[in-house]
Amino acid sequence: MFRRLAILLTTLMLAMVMIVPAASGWIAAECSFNGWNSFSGNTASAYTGATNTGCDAVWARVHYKEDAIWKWSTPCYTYTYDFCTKFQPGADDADLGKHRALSDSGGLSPWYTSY
Amino acid sequence: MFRSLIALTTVALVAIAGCSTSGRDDAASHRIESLLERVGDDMPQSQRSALSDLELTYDEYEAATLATIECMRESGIIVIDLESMNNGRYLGYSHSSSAHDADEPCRREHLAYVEQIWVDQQAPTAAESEEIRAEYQQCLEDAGENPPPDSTFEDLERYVALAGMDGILTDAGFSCAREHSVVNWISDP
Repeated sequence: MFRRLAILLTTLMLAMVMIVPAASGWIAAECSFNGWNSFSGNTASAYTGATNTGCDAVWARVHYKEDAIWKWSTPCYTYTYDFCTKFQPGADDADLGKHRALSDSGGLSPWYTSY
Repeated sequence: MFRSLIALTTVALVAIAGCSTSGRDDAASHRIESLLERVGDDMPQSQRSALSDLELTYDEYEAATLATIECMRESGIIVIDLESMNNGRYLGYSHSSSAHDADEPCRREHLAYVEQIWVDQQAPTAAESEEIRAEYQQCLEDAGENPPPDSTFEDLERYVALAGMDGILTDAGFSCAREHSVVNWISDP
């Protein structure tokens, strides 16, 4: 009985870890930032946000499926605020996000991927 | 005496209104001027032309986006339509290349600096901020959302971003964000 409960709890915990999208964190010069993507209710989305004060701008774009075609969304962009989000309603699926930041000193990061 | 008072009041009101508009225009012009100085000759000619009068209009922003799309198509990238976001305040596109950054050369050539200025112009000024914040909060509450009371404009933006990412923002909440948001880019229906 105890073993069955333990297996059930472990399975539940693993399932929770698998369905919650994990944020990934990156660094560009003195700028730290993170990002993740999600898909819910036919909306694909990607978020990029600064996690310290060394960032000047951030971008986010999402890879989504619509009408059986996989597409890259246009990237959101901001340098007025600490984060931006791209929401793509009407999507059938989504699998990746791409995230980029510019540091205050002009260091531009590569595009990083969230899964 | 009474007529003089009316004339004086009218002049004062016109002056205040003029200062308010001109203050925003001056700030926008200053930002464009400093960008032109900072980037210098590295700024591509088409974007320099759009910004050289120290003013960026919607038509110029739209033209820069369309030029980007045309450039991508000429490069063999399959572009899926011009996309309108946030009730038309932002423009974009989707593309179906396997490389996510296949559009980068065309963005650098036709759009990057123009977009930077355009996005900056969408942010409310300090004077506009409280009015827009109040409308944004009311809209979200009327939509059945629960943003924290007395949120700042940025708090509301973050609420929309996180609720949207979590899949719990209502369609009406998305409509509010389309109307007011600066950082949440939402495709129009």
